Amino acid sequence: MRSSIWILRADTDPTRGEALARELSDRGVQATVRMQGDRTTVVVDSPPEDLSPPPDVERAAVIEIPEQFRTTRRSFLDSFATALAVGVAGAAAGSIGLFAHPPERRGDGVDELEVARLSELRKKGYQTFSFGSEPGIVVASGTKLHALSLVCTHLGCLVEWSPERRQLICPCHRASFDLGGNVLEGPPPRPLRSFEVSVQGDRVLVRRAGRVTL
Amino acid sequence: MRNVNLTAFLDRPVVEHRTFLSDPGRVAVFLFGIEVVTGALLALYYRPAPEAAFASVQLISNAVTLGWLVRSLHLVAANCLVVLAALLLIRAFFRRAFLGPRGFSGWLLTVGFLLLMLAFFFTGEALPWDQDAYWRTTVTAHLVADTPVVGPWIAGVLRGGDDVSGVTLIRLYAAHALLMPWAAYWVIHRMRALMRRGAIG
Repeated sequence: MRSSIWILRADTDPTRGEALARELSDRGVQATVRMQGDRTTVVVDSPPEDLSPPPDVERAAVIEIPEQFRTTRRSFLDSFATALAVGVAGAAAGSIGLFAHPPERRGDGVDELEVARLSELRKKGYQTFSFGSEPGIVVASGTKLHALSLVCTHLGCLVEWSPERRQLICPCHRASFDLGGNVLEGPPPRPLRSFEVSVQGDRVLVRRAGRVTL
Repeated sequence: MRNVNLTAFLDRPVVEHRTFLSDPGRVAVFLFGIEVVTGALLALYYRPAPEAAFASVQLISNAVTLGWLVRSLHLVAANCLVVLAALLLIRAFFRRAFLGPRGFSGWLLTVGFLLLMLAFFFTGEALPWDQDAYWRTTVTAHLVADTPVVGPWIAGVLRGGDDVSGVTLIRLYAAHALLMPWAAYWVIHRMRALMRRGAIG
């Protein structure tokens, strides 16, 4: 597309540009007025061959805009729709990427815990603790200490220590376990998970062998 | 990039006074697409084992980036599908769509679509394997077992044993994620074909 750009002289009347544009549109030529700094310019689209600039035009230039750089309403809508589609697809792909990246395991990094003082444990008989999200209990029985997970292997309910029965009871389905974690009755398929216990002086330490996999 | 065929999309002929139920097949495809994508994503973390299922669902909801969003989308789109299926059935009933040349097969498909969506809901609800899921599955299995003649057999297949157990969870998951999506794909495809010929709705 060809366009003529007319820069009017600095001393012309400010309304001259509009008048010129009206005059041109009366002849069927499209023209737009723009201010460049303090200068009035008139941009004439597709000027006819016989059109010559009026005397109050200081400088005139003809520019040629190649077809592929012209923005029509259609090409704008096309690019807009493409940009929108690419944006949405990109956001979706990014979100999926974030989702697929595995999260940091929280609280599971602790593999050894000091859970009680030996003297207090002997007095109380048991002490609960927690490896991150996995609760456990350490029970003193005679001279031995037993450390077990409280998560029932049936459906993951938390079992409770019953000092009278000397058993761990699951409240959900009345399952019971002995201090070795073995199933005495009820539906659980496996013994309770057990932890290593060690005593250093008066400190009772519980160690978890492997990490809990989620 | 001029490959977006906007004009063809805008010029597509549509019914006057169009509502979202004018083209329910498209709505079903859209919702089912969301289910497939979010379901595949959830399967990256979900573990169908009794001791791990709940923990893996907790992991998705609380620890995985945008996990809450993916899980909610899966649930919301599932709800919408059940509502859509129910609306289609009610509309077919009041329009007497079950009469006419292809009406009855269309009616069967519409009923089948609703039943399938409810089956998706039942199996999907059990997957977190919390107390709710466990007892709901137990109750449903008892209901199924009360069906005359074939009931006990179906309940046995559903549970994979005499009681609801870890085997049941694997079966529900397999049905939810491996078998039923193909059935849903087929039903939606057939429904759309019948809709184009005007036999549904």
